[in-house]
Amino acid sequence: MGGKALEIRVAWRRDDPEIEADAIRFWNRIGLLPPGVSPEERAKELVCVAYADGRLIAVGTAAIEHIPQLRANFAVIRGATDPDYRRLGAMWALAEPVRATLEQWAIDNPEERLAGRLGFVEHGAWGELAKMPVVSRLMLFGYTAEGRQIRGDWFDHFRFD
Amino acid sequence: MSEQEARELAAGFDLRPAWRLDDAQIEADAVAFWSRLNLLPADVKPERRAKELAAVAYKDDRIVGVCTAQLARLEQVRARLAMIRSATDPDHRRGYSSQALTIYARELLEVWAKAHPEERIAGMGAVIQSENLRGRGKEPVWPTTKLTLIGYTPDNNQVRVYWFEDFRLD
Repeated sequence: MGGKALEIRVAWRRDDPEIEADAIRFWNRIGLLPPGVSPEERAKELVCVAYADGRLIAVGTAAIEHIPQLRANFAVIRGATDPDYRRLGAMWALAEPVRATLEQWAIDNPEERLAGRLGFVEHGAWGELAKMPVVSRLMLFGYTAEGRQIRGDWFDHFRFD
Repeated sequence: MSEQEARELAAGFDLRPAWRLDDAQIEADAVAFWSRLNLLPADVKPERRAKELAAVAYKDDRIVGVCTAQLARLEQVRARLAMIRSATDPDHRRGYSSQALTIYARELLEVWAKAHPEERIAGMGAVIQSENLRGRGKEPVWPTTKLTLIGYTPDNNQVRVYWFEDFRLD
């Protein structure tokens, strides 16, 4: 991994102006957000971020949505990495901190009824890992109409009413 | 209930493999079980269902629990799964855990799937129809059988899957 150390910082619901500013610069620099999505709004969905060389190089975000297929609220997770730092494996380094942060928040905020994490895997984004039905607790739950994998992970504590 | 606890609950029962063994005695005993308890739909021939037997539980030389598996594609996950059905003699529902039989069947099927890669069996699936399991439906992941909720059928039955560890999607 090039010997560079990654610094992981938690951002979920902290309104940390420094991290949010760094993330906004990151998105603007990389040009990753879809049209119509404002970096300032996306910054409010930050869960964890990764820094290397004093620079924010990867983000994990989550938007809480009700998923009709599962009849529960899930944190729909997204991730992005600076292409110059992809070899560091930052996205996988963020996976567990993102999961743990969201799960603890779900436990601490039971009224939110947050049941787990959900992700949509873009074609080719995971390479050979996409062939494994379960990766980092994210289990294949199905496919979108466009053929993207839907992967989910139920939090251990969650129970339906 | 942990997997160990489930196995311990079945300690007084004799769990036997049946998958693709064409064991005439087990099949006859299973047919007798279904007939005795009137469990099968009218349009299902017991002898045909007996060919889907994965594992059975005996008590005092009589079958008191069965687990069958039908290899079928689950379109939601675009993969072929061993879709299981289980039935337990009501007289033995308290003293015996059908979960232990399901675990036993799961292990058998996973070994068989690995030994027959040409079959492309990705895991074990179940559509939960039993009223007896409704309460357990509140748990999205069953820790003993490892069956995980991935959705619902149009008639509101839970669909659960356990992915075999060695399987790789296309």
